[in-house]
Amino acid sequence: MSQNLTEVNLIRSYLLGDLLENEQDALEKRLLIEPELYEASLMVEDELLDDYVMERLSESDRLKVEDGLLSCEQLQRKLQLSKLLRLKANGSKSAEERSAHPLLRLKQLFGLHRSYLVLASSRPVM
Amino acid sequence: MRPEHFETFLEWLDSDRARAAEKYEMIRQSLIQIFIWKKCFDAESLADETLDRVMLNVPGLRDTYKGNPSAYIHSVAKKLLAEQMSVRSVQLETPVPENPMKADIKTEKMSDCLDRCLANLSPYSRDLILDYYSEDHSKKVSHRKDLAEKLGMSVGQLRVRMYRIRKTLEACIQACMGPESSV
Repeated sequence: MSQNLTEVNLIRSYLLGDLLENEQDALEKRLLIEPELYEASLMVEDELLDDYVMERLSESDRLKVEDGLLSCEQLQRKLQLSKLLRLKANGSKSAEERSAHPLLRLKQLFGLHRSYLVLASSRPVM
Repeated sequence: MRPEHFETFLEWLDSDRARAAEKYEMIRQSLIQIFIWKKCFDAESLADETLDRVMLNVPGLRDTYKGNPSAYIHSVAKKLLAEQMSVRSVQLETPVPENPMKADIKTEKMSDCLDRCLANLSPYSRDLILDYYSEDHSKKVSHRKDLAEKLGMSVGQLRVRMYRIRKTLEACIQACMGPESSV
């Protein structure tokens, strides 16, 4: 399954409602008979929703997504998944960072108070 | 819809029965997706309505129609969509907002299901999708390119990989949440 950049941009423009009517028609006719294009369009849809969640869209594209794609319940659920994945990704990262920090790992192990750990760590090594 | 209409339609799509069935499925799925993108609330029914209308017309046009059936199917879908749009503009649908409490419960359940489904992924896929969505990369416009480079793959390969992982997660979440909620 490979997609060239032109095809990806074409699908993205279609999803944002930026194509002329005849261009839309041509793409939709191809979607009915080209499984690869259909799969590619679902990938581009995922990416567009990700870009929306991750605040990477321009103001005008953000509004187009809200007025267009997000008026559908199915796509709202997909958006919800992207949002949750983002939350989990950042949650798991901060959890990783916490556990990776040696002082905090000690704190987790022994339930010690932060100030005690700071004090302990600043003591000169004998 | 009579069974012979369906059979005639399949023959019109392809003389090989198995290939015709594949084409039918492909066309139906694509129609559903197109109706979803066109803001239609009941995309599945509209796709079926399109195909029903086409099937009724096929006996009269199969001998004279020239070209790919997809063009005809598309024209019927477009006409149906126009009908829907005019009905919608007259009725001015006002979507009923979901009860916020119910929506919260749904999100919470989805979050629990996502935890379970993430745990079912291979460690490589789990790390990959979490890395993809992490704050470090996500803010950058070039994040897909950066991540693909880091993983030694092309952006296209990363796109396919992410799509497959998401598909797996969506199917798992749907099974976990029950049939009423498809992701």
